[in-house]
Amino acid sequence: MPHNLNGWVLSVEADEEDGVVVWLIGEEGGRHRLVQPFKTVFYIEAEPERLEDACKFISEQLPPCPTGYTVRQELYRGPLQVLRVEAPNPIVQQRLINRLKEQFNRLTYYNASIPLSIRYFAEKGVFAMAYCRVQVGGMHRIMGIKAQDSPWELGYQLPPLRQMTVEPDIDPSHAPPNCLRVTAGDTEHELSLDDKPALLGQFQGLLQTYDPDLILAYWGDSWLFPSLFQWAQEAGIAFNPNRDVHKKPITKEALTFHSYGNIHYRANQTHLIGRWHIDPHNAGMTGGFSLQAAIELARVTGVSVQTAARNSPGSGFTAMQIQEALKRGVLVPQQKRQTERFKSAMQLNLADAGGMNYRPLVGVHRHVAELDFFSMYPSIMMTWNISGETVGVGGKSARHVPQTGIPIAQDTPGLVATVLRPLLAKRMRVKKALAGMDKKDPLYDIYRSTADALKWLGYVSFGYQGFKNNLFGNIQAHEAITAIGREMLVTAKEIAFEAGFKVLGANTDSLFVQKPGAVTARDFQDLLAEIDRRTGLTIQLEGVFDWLIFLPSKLNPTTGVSNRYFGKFDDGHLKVRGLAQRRTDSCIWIASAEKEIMELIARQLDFEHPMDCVFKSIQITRSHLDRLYREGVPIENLVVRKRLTREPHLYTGVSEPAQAAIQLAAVGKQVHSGQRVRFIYTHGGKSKVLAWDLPGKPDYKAVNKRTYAGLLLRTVYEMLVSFGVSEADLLSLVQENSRQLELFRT
Amino acid sequence: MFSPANLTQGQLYLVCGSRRFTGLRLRDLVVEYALRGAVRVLVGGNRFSVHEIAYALAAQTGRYYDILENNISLARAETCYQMAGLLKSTPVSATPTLVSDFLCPFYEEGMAEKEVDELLFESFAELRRLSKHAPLVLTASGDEKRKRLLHALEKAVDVTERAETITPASVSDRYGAPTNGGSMGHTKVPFTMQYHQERRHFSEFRRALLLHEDQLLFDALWNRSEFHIPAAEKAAHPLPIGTILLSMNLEQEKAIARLEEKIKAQEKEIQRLQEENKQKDRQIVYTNTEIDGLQREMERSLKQVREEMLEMLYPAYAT
Repeated sequence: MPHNLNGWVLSVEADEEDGVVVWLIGEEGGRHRLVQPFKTVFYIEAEPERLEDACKFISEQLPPCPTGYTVRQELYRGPLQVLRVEAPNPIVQQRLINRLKEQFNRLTYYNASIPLSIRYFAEKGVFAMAYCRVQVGGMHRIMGIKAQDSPWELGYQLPPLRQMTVEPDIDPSHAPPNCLRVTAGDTEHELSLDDKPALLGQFQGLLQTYDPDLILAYWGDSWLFPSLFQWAQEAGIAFNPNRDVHKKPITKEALTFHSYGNIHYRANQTHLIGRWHIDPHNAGMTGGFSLQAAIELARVTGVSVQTAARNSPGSGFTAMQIQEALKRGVLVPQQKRQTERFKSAMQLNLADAGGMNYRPLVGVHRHVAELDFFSMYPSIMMTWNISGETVGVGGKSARHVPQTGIPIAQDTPGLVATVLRPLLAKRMRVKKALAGMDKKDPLYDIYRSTADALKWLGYVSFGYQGFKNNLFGNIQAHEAITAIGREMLVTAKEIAFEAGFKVLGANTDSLFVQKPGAVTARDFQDLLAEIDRRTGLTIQLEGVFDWLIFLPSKLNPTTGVSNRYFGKFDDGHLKVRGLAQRRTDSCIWIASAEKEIMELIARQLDFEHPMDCVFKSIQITRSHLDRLYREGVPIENLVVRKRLTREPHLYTGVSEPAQAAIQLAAVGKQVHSGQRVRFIYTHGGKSKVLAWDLPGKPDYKAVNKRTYAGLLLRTVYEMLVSFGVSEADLLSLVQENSRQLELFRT
Repeated sequence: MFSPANLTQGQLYLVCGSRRFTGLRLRDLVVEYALRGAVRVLVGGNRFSVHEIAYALAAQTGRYYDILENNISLARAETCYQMAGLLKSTPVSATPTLVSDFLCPFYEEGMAEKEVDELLFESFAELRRLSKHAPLVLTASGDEKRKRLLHALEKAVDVTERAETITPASVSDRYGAPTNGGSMGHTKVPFTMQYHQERRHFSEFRRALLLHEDQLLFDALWNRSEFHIPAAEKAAHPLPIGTILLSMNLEQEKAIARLEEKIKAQEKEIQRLQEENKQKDRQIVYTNTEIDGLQREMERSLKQVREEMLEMLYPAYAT
């Protein structure tokens, strides 16, 4: 009997018999496997003769896939004559495309490799974790599905997820674990790793008992699931962690990739069917994993939650563009073929640059306001209608890129600009909501995660325009955004000059300004309003610093560095950028000492007697050094993490991470380019580091305390140099009643 | 050695060798063609040395700015799909065409070999089409993993110029070697890197300075000018050294202004002190006059007292 069901979409999977399988968490608490026929359409472009041949080939295939000639819009080239092919389900489509590729050369495919979740969500108007009303017929067949909430809502409701957390007792990259700690509900289980067949049975049993929606497994991608599958194979045991046990889990290979100038490593992945598996150590999120942020990313982008948790937000932004293209009936290419339009060498010279990073004025500054453009690049893309297909195209109302004069069409909304509009509106709403919210409010963390997720999407929406494989991106669009960004920053600086402010520094989308007598937020409002008016972008007051210290460059102390500063806002909280406590390669001992000294400065700095603070800072430094020399600092707190920028065997020098990687390789532990390697500094020998993940715990005697002391003193010097403390001063102050240290030797 | 004078339409020319060699040759060909008229460049390896081309042009003509703006046009292709697409969409024209680092996009990892080969042969047909009405020169370097691609290209072209057939002296390297493109996906070298490159060009000058204090001043000159790199990036003048020298002048001007301010303040102080001295002098004169008056007064009084005493002692004296 047909009936209605309310609930949340957990996942969507392709199925050869049924089309798609939709896993739904029912409002009443049930977990439902629903099916729905789902035809998919793709298109082929080629010379007429080749297209005829392809058409004939398709008509000979089984199951039958109806074909027909049609005209479809290509984003850059306009209307195109293409062959439309309709497959009965996504699996048949993929099989047919593989056969076509084997049979024919030089066919161009469109809409051929769109992930199922994106295709399904775009067609049905639903999304991951959407609250839906579903009409269900016989054999659990979906007759109709309709979302009852919107991805752009702020306060949406989510179902209580059944979560199972799995964690080995030891970091597997450090030493072989002895057991697994499994937590489900209020119950904790410890599964021994001594007897593998027994472990597999127990694990499968727990899955059946608790039937979790989410397995949150630490090192699940890099170690747990690959190991479980291997042990099952060795023991000849059938092991399947899926909810749908008739299907195999999906595995994806490890990957090293570049992003924003850094090299990253993503371990191989295990995606489960009918439930989620997420490994917090393999999450692609900046600043650590957050389930709420992963769900938010999945809701607004159309990718699955398992993908959103692992991949960079870039893939989410691509998904949003694909959804918009599908809505517009624009063809989605398999590979990006379009290139930039011809430009002059001078235009390239003017356009090929990034954001402006002024060198700030080094030293201590009082009463400084930080002004930030709200989502500068996405806002520019939206307000200037920047999209791959609009840049370089003229028109009656075209706007022109500053300096290069390249036109940007304004007549039709650009694809990217359209995608960004609701995203930015939601980000603005959540930011406003957070500003007036108590941190203890139960919604605060949820909103914070939402804001973070949307912020990442905003970042990549710009960066992806220049990415060579972005299906709809164009380098010209990327260059137009940065050129406008530079122009807006300089305009803001000029407005500040006119209003009598001194600009102490400016960095891509923010400015630090100061004026005698301007000390409270109110004193900067007129300036903000004028910048808003003249740039057409929203600029906000991040805060007014009671004091702010811009640190000198290490290489050239006569100038500052835009991203190395710390200061105290007038509400008492500190803002720190580019120092040890913010860097991922600092050891805990250095970061915590720096934090302690900085908090002391924040509490006690008296501008009449700044040296009092300096002397107290020296005392703290001494106490930390004493603890180090007395071997009172836990050795774990001395571990440094650095990223491998290439495969260990490709290093020609003796870089510290490479040395550690070579040591690990010698005991059979492989690390790859993009991975972080942990090590401690040690005495003498050829290598002056010892990989932390070697078997056994290192002896404290091996620790090179002098190296660590040098690192700490360098950190302290950076904080105190603005108070007129020289390296020699610091050294003599620390040396008082202490041992000799060679400062800055390392 | 290829030059516009010996290249004709209907032929495919290939410059083959290391990335450094092909970069230098491409730069020279761009400059030679651009000095004669229009030239278009299809950039394959995300490397186009605008600054080196600008320096080379500026060495020969004052019109370098105009030539960069009007004679040289370019478009970039990063993947082999894009290279094939760019060649396909480029119209046949009488303008000479240069394709730099043609094979670079075809060396991308993760591509299926069959697909790479298909796209390469698709591109050969397009290259032939584009060479119909104007010379077409490609530059290409080899790759360990896909050696076959360079062999195929060498077979597909009509004339090849190889690094080993050219003496190093005949390849002009007066303006610095083109670098392997910019960082973070940039095609040209970002100004910060260019700044350091320019500084390196003068390292021998620094070394040869007679006085150590001159070397320190030289360092200070460069260090201080670094403050203006963001402004230099925004202006993007094609000859970076000009902007760097201007930045140094600006910093010197700032130092002069600061010194002038100091001098002015000191002059003011001197003036004030002089004024104070004058005042004091006047005071001294006044005081001296006062003292003189008092002395005279005293003398008068003394005389009077003396006379009075004489009168008292010698009453006859008064009479």
